[in-house]
Formats: sequence, C-alpha cells, structure tokens
Amino acid sequence: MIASNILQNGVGTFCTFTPRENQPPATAFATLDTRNSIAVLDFDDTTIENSVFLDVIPQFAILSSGLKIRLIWAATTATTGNCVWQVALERMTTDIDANSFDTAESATAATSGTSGIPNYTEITLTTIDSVTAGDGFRLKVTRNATSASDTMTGDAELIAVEVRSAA
Amino acid sequence: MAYQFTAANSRYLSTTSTPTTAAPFTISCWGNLPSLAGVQSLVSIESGNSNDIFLLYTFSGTQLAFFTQRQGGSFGDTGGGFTFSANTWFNAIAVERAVDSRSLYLNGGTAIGGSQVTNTTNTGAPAVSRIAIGARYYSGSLGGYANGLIAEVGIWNVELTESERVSLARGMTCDKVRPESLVFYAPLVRNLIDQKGGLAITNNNAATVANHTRVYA
Repeated sequence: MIASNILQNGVGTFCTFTPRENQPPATAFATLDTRNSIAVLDFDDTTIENSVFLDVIPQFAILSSGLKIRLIWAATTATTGNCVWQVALERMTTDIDANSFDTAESATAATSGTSGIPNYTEITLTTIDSVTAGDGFRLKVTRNATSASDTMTGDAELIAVEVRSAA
Repeated sequence: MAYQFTAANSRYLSTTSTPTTAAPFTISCWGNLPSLAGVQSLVSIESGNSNDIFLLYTFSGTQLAFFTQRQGGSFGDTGGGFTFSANTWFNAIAVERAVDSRSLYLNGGTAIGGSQVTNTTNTGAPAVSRIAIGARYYSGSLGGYANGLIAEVGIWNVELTESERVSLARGMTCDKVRPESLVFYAPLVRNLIDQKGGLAITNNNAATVANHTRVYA
C-alpha cells in the first residue's frame, strides 16, 4: 500500500515504500524476510542485489534540487562495518520493456553498534532522469556489496524508503 | 526466507489436517534444488499412514511429476515429460480436477514458455488427512525427503485458470490469486504460518531458513 504524500509548498515527503511494495527485478533481487514479524528485504553481503519501487511524483512537487532518498535499514547481525547503498531513478516516459535508470548515487553508511537498532541513511539524488510532477517513476535501491567500501558482514535488511524533496 | 530441507536430517514440515481432501484442487509451490537426484517431495496431501496420496515431486534426476493414488487402487502419475534445472527457482502447479484427470504445470505451463502434462488414469479418491512439505508418507514409511529450498506453498479448492497459473509463475503471491478459493497458504518467509486456513505447521527435525524466491508481495 502506498502511503499518502505530505507536501507543503511543493516540498516534503513525496512517497514512502515498504518491502511488500518491492517489484523485484528478474535477477539479482533482494529477498523478502521478516524480523520480529516486520517485513524486510534482505540484501546479500557478497552479491549485488536490488529492489525496485514504483510511484507517481505528486502534483506541485518541487524537483529543482533533486530528491532525497532516505533508507531505513538494519544489519541482520553485524554491529560493525559499512554498507554501501545506491539509488537510481527512472522516469516512466520511455519504452517500459527496457530499463532506463539514470546515474546512481551512493552512500556508505556505518551500521549501528547495537543489533536491531535501525540506521537512517540519506542519499541526495540529483540525476532524476528529468522527472516532473505527475510522472510515473521507478526507484531502484541497491546494496553494492562488491564495493571495497562495503565491509559489513551479513545481510542488510531494508525496512522502509522515503522519497522527499531536496529543496 | 524460504525453507531449506536436508534429506540426511529428515527435515520436513507437516500439518495434522488438510483443508482439501478431494478434487478439484490446485497446489502451487516454488522449489530450488541444488541436487536433482532421487525422489524429492515438494508438497504432499496424504494420509500419513497409507498410500493414499496426492504428491508433487521430482524423480530420476531432472523430472517433475504429480502423482495420485488411493490405497490399494491404481495410481495416476503425470510422469516426467519435461525437465528443470538445478539451483534455479521453478514454479510447480499441480491440478487434481477429478478422479480421472490431473495436470502438472512447470513455470506457468506452455502459455508462457513453460511445460505442462496431463494424466487421465482413474485412481478413485484417496483418503487424505494432512499436508507434508519436503517429504511424503508412502509404502509404509516417511521418505522422499527434499534436498533444497521450498517456498510459497498454496492450495486452492478449485482448478485455477491458465491466467491464474501464469500470475503465480510470474511471482504473484498465492493470496493475490483467487483468494476466495485459497484454503492453505504458507509463504514460508521465516515464520511458519498458514495465512489462510490457520493450520498449525510443525517443523520436523529443524528445517532451516534460506533466501526466498522472487515474489511480488
């Protein structure tokens, strides 16, 4: 279920996603799991895996500074190490039979030193494929597990995603 | 998270009753078997103490089949006819439409490039009373243990249509396909829950969790 958008003067939260809204790619997909009955998406620590979410940019959205993608996630077991997250956006105005994601942006985030405490990681995305208000879009969230900077052992569990204005 | 079964440890899941005991019904599940050797049971609706059984299983290394037998009677087996690959998730759907007709669909059937086969042996109606996942009771003992992953087990008390089978094969979860006729649904995402019928599912000999198949949850 897609949450309601909260906007004031074109800025604010555009949409939020949870694991059950994932529209997984055909290969290299993050896998559905639960933790304390909370649905999560597991991203492997040795193989790059992806999740994809779809929504519509709300009316009156201000996109001049791009978007901020906020990831809420936890390590399955690790209490040390860094996780490299990437996000990329595709404007749905081209042939949907082929992917056309814009250039991804990354963030390297340290996991909490306490098991089970969620981490909040924000990535500013300026390459938003020229998306405008009213456009359908897909957001791809990736753990770049093969990056030398990704040092966190075990799965990363994605709990929720927020898309907000960067303005 | 799917469930991982190890034959050497006799791991399997079971219930003490079944919401469907006779045709028509449909079984769907996803499997991923690193080794295709031997007889490996995916889902069985069975008596647990006789040869009354509806069994979705693999055999002869690479064959997938659906088998029906009433104790003391003839058995109907779709047989092989098509194969699948190790270490690759596949969707298997078995339909028992009547005592003399059953079909098996691999990866959605021929509608989307998969495979399908039908058997028309009149077996009579088996007397069944429980569900087993990853094993089956046959010929006086529990066996045919699976070695690999099983996930998204659903049972409907109807024969699903081709479009519905295709939806399942494309990753839609069981609860999104004719939910009014879904009578058993165990996603096997870590927790052992029958989300539709509420049957208690027992984990026999500690089957473990593993990466789930690709689904639109």
